[in-house]
Amino acid sequence: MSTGTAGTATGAAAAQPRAALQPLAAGWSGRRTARTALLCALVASLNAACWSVITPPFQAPDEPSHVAYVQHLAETGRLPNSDGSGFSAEELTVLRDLRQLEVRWHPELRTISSRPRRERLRVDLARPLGRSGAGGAGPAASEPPAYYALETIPYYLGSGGTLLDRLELMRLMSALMAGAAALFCFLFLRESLPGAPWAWTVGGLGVALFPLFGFTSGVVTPDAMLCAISSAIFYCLSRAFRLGLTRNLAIAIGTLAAVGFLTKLNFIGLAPGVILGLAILGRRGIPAPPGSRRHERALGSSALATAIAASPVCVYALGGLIAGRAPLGRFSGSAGQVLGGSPVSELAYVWQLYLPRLPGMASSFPGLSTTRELWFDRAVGLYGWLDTAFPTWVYDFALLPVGLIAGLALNALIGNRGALRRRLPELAVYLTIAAGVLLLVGVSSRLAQSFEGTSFAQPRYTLPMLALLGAALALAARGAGRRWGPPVGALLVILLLAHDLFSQLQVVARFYG
Amino acid sequence: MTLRVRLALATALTATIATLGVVLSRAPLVLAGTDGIPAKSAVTFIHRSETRCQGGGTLPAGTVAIRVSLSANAGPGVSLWALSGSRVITRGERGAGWGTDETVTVPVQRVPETVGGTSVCVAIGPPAEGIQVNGAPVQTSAGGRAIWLRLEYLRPGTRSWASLAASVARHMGIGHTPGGAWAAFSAIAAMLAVCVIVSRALLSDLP
Repeated sequence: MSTGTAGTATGAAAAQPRAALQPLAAGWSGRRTARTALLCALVASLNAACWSVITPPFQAPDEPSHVAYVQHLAETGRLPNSDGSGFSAEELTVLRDLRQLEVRWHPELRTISSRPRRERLRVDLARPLGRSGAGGAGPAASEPPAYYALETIPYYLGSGGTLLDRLELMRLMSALMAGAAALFCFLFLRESLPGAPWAWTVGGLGVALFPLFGFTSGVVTPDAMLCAISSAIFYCLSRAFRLGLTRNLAIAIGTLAAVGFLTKLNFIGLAPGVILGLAILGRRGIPAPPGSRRHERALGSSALATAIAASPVCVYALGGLIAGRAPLGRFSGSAGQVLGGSPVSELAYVWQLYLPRLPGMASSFPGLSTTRELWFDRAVGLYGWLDTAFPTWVYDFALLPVGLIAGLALNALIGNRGALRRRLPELAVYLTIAAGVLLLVGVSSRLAQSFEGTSFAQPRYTLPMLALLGAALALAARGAGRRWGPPVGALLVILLLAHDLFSQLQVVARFYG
Repeated sequence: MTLRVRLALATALTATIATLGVVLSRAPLVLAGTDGIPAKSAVTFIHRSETRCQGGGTLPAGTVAIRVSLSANAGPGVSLWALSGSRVITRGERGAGWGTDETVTVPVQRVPETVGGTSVCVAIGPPAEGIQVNGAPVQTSAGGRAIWLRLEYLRPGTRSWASLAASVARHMGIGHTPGGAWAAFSAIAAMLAVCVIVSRALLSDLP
């Protein structure tokens, strides 16, 4: 990891726009950087669009609930009022005609194909069925509305068409968000690894082709927007660590965090890392201009960002207090339930959800290697409604390239340990964000285990850390050395492209084969 | 751009296309037979490791996998062996972590010839959560009652994925927007565009 031109940045707020246009590394003009960033975005959007066509309607986790949320919001202007399945007659009819429940979790069953079923679907799609139901949105009901509000735009645009037309338009909106996420991942790499510009391309394209990301962004789910928001936050934080926390960056980070809170409850997991980042950046201030020894403090900017970020939570909590309910709604209750147990046992559960059990811990996952069998295997490939997997040998084979990538990335980190030491505070912020996300998923899983008897191990919940995946890929390419780095980078990107293609074929085979 | 990058790109793309060719030349697994037990949902649950043996009916020649009607979000390890009398005809195992499915498919050694009157034993490892059994209660030969699993025997079909491509493409366009042939065409066009953009970006950006 190199500090690159970080030390030469003027850093003053007024100089920031000019600094943004300056090349960060020799041979890479701002125009070239912008072109590659846009290409990464285009690849991610096209890839997600392809996944949106391949994945059958409503055969992705909770997609019927997310669609019901959008439809209720679009048709009535109100948020869902229950976590039941009081969907609209239109959606219930389409779900029935598509045999959604029968196909889900049954890899031996394909989507509809017989003439009578096609005819029945065609007739029902043409009927003027009710578009608003009782206001149920299943498990999506408790989620905040930002993503769903945005999805009402394609919903309205397709209001003259069938529900399946509107669903595809909504999926394409998610695909656009994938483009935004990949763009910010690329820009994050530009800021955080300025030493080797070619590695930004490797990381940016690698992220854009990551199949789990493509699949998740090819369906209707707030995870798509959360991914874009979190990637943008990673970018803004890395830029602030390079240029200092200017007022504009503070407003950007605060606004992104506020939108994050309004996008998905899982954003709460990122909050501690963002707060830590703002605290460090506020204390560190803005780098002094050449010739001056005084750093400009940025505590005001830090406070401003925190205030903007916290505003939706404060408004929600205040509304809750006025309405006489728990200030943080369902989340306050959940936190209380988790904390109701022994903290040590809860922590042991969360630990074992990701890592091997330590001596003295009671086994929470007997017979399961969670690191390998839940997280690694499922990140390598588990699609549809978590019911579409590769043959088992693929997961064993995947250990080899992933091990090589990890080894090369580690080599790059060790080779640049001096720069790494200088940037420990920044690294601590990224790691805190990652730890926060993992902890939140762990706590949610613990709750699910208590009430439903099942864990919550879905790698898509870790997608807010997509920018770190990009960094790992870029570092792996750099870890191969100056001579072999670029060809290894090309191999990595094509490996991910192949992984993506075969993942799509697996989905095609499972649903249409 | 160096020769190394060009070579790496060409090699990786060629390997991808070759692998794609191999995959498409193979046949998908098809249902060759069952044990005749209906898969009634959630007839019981399993909360600890156990081994259960039951009648397996006729095991068709060519069987390479057996689908067992166990359901879990994160399933335990499953071992399975089929017997004819005391002779083991085939065996296989599936590691833990499978799901979320209503069934688990266990790859087994290829069965060389059709064998009738088999029995199948399924050993279920320690479960991290309750395992749902989808099967049916049956009267055993000893006069007792037991819950038997539905077993489905899978073997490679006679047609390759490549020869099925047209029907798969047609199927993709059903119950979907874009419909008809547009579904497959748009997906292929999108991924071809991705391949071109990625290759050009690598060639122009990597030194």
